[in-house]
Amino acid sequence: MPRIEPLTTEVLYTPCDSSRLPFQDTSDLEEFDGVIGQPRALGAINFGTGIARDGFNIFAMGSSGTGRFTIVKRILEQQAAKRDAPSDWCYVYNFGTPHKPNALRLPAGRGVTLRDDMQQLIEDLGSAIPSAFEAEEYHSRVEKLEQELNERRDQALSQLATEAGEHNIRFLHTPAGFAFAPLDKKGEVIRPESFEQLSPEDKQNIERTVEDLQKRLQRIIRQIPIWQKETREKIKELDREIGRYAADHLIGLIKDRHKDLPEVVAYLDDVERDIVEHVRDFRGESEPQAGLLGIGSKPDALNRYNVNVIIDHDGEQAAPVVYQDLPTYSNMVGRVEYRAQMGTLVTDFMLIKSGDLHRANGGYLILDAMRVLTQPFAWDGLKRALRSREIRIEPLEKALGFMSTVSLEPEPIPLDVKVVLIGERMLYYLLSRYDPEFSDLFKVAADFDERMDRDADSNVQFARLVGRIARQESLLDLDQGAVARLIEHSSRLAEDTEKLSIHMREIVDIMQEADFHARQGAQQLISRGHVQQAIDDKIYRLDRVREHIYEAIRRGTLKIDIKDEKVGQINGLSVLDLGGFSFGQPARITATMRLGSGKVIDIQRETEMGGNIHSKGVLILSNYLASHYARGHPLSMSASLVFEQSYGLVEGDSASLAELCALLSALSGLPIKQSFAVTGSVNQIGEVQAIGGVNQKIEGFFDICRAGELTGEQAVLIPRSNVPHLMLRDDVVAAVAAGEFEIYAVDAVDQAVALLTGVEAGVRDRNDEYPPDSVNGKVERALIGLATRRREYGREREDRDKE
Amino acid sequence: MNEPQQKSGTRVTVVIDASRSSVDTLKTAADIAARVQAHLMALFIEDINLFSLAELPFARELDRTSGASRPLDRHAVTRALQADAERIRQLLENESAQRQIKTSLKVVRGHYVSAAMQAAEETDVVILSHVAGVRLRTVAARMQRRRPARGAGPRPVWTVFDGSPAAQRALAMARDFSIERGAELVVVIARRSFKRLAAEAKDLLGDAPVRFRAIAGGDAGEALRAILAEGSSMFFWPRGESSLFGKLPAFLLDELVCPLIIVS
Repeated sequence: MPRIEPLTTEVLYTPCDSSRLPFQDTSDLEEFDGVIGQPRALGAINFGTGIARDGFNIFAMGSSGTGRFTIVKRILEQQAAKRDAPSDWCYVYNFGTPHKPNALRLPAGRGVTLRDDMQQLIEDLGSAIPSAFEAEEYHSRVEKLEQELNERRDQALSQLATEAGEHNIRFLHTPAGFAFAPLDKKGEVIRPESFEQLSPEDKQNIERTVEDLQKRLQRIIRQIPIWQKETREKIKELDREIGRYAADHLIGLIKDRHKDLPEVVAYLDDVERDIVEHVRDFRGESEPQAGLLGIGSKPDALNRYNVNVIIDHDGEQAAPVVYQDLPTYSNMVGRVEYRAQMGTLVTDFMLIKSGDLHRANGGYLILDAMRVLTQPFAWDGLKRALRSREIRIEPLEKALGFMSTVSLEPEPIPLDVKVVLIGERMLYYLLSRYDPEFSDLFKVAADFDERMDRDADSNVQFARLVGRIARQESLLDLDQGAVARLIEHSSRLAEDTEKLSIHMREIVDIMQEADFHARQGAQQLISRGHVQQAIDDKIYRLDRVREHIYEAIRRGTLKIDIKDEKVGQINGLSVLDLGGFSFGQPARITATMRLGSGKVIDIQRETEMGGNIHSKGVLILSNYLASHYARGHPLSMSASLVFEQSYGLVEGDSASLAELCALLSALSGLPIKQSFAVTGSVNQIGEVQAIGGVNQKIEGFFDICRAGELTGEQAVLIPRSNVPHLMLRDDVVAAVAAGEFEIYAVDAVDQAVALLTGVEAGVRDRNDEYPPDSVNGKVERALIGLATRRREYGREREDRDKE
Repeated sequence: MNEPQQKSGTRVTVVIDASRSSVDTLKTAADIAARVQAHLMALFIEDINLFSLAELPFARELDRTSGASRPLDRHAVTRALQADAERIRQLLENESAQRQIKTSLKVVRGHYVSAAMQAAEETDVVILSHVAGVRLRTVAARMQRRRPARGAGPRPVWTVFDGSPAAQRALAMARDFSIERGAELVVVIARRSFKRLAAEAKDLLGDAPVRFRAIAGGDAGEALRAILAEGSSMFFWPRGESSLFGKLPAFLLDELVCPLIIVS
């Protein structure tokens, strides 16, 4: 097997040649208003906004920081500019069914006009109606009606009193009513003793007459309320006549202004009828009512003629694009508010508040998917509105039965909106899998990529985007070197020398910090050094944990050997992610073996400190051993693997190459050079596969070695398929260039084990045997020995059992 | 205005009976008494006819509102009148405390009109309550309350003016009340002496706003109709033989729907 050579510095870092960038600084670049690296997502959004079919709402998925919101908003605003402003919407009083306010649609800007017209009408009627009722003619007609009533009553009473007088009987007022009293010859009420002296016939006559008069008086008294009611009706009809006279002209003017809107004209007809019926409200004479829904109580009596403009597009030229940061149920579908009145909660149609769906109706609504899903009932409310294509304001507390007070049922408003949900991919997949309505309502998936190809064209595009960000954020322009360093950093973020990360939030953060440093230095441009300082400072602010761990390794608290050779012991590499920063940490992996039944025990898994992927990697090792070394006999060993001094969850299979090498060392008895660290996963046939975080892992081991002494012997083994991902730090590259540190790329386990032990791995010969002094030969022999020992042990045991 | 002086030791009497509205009248009387710092005497008349009627075996009373018939006996009449008198006494005490005036209540059994006329002869200012028959005039009363008396504000204060000293005092009191209450002052003058008396009244009133109403001399009925039509909160009547209207017509006591103040 040919000797594996260490990687040269050319492949360890792929710089961006700033001299090839076609500008001196970003101010030379023309304005960039496009989107880079998202052709698939752009196509999906354009399709989704263009198609006018039900259910073609958009789910924009991807990682946060990739510019999803900015891109979506910009495209939607471009689409919205091509459309007219949608209708205004108002809620008005329903004169037939007060608890169900009517919705009125008006052309953009006309809602406010109608509202102002109605407010002016109320004001005008407030003076016109009282004036009409102040007129002499009205008073004289009322007085005439009153006079008729009085005369009718007085005539009846005086006629009765006269008739009583004819019978020598007086009509008297008592404290609580009336009475009839017979008179004596002097005209005074007869004394009892005088009455007693009358003949029985006279007494009987008087009593009969009084009784008759009383009956007639009773009829008159009972008739009086009827006469009063008749008079009230006549006065009410007179009021209607006067009210109609006062209101007709004023309402006619408003009708004329809105004659092109039949619904408004019909509403104004209702208003006119109601004003005529309730003309007293304008005279300040309405009786305080029970106040159903707060309407009818005296101060609010005229409130019912107001217009609640819930959506006003006055002066707007384009369709709305609405983003809701807090998509609660009521923020989306609107709500009915209440006010405290006399110790209770009341409401009316003027307290109906619009929601985002109202505001976005006729346009576009952008929502954060996670926030919609985490707000109680918001997701259900959104789906219901989209499904029914109408916005129905139903108070949540009522729907849930938490509140039994009288409330409103506003007329639903037709909905025509394109909703764009922005969220992580996992949300999209979960919703697609578990919510059967989701696929019907969000048929367009706009998948935002996190990476784009890195080439000369994309470098320039990237530079233009950086220039635009600098202008948007009021930052200094960047020179060639600064842009080149950002491109390199972007590649590092993408973990690929051939890709650029378009996770722009990180780039913007670096730019802002570099701008700070440039301004601190009174520079006119941001240079490469400022960008580097920003990157280094950010790492420094976050690497307290790394420093503590590395210190523990230096002091021997965490045991990592970087020299000598050990059997069954190897340096693995792991990555710790601390949010905005991740770093590599070497970890000692040890393997032990003994006679057994072919199991490799993963202590991490046994203690439930290993993830599923890690367990899978360890199980693969058993099969590798069996298929490579125990094809003709049982795998009669039992081995155990452990991450020493690991107290957290170990996940991933990137240590499986290191674990396998440790096992092979333990089986063969060949020591492993501790100056090496290993990362990579293996499959059953011994191929080494790519892993993540390769840069951080190499840098992590390098830092540990440098803290001691760089001997030139220290090296890291990585999968060859990870070589295109290398974007290592300058100091690592410099150490490699100086021959102080090495990085090897391997394709197979045999290459790795040969490097680690310094012994040829060995290839089977014609007799299907490994060379005896090779690693594989020693391993195979050890396993055969174990199998033999196991067989012998089995016989001895059988013999003992027989005895 | 040359202020017509109220005689010293002015006596104010309010005459009330069970059939007449008492609260408004008592308040008006207390206002007047407080204004002239007079002792206010309430004269409560127990209608003697009611006692005579209650002695009769067939006496019954018809409820004013429902028309229901119920027996009427002496005890019932006595209890009802005593309750009324007690109510009047409490009202008087309240007014006395509020306005810092001395008050007294006198209960007399007799006839209201003759008692009122006699009181008018003996007292400087007599306030007569209007018949509680407004309870029969529900609609009219409601209209009266509802109508803002030809514009916003309280109903007018009316007074009859014949140039006599009593009329001058009545005019001064009416003017003060109209200003205090923000009410219109309406002065009723006999048509045949209208120019002279209006000028005289104008001279007495000075800058105070006033509206004159000419009516046929001696026709109190015309004045009553005008009052009923336009509404009134108080009606001042100057007592004296020289009045162009002659003696106080008794029907005014039955028809007015506001307190009648007779000024000597």
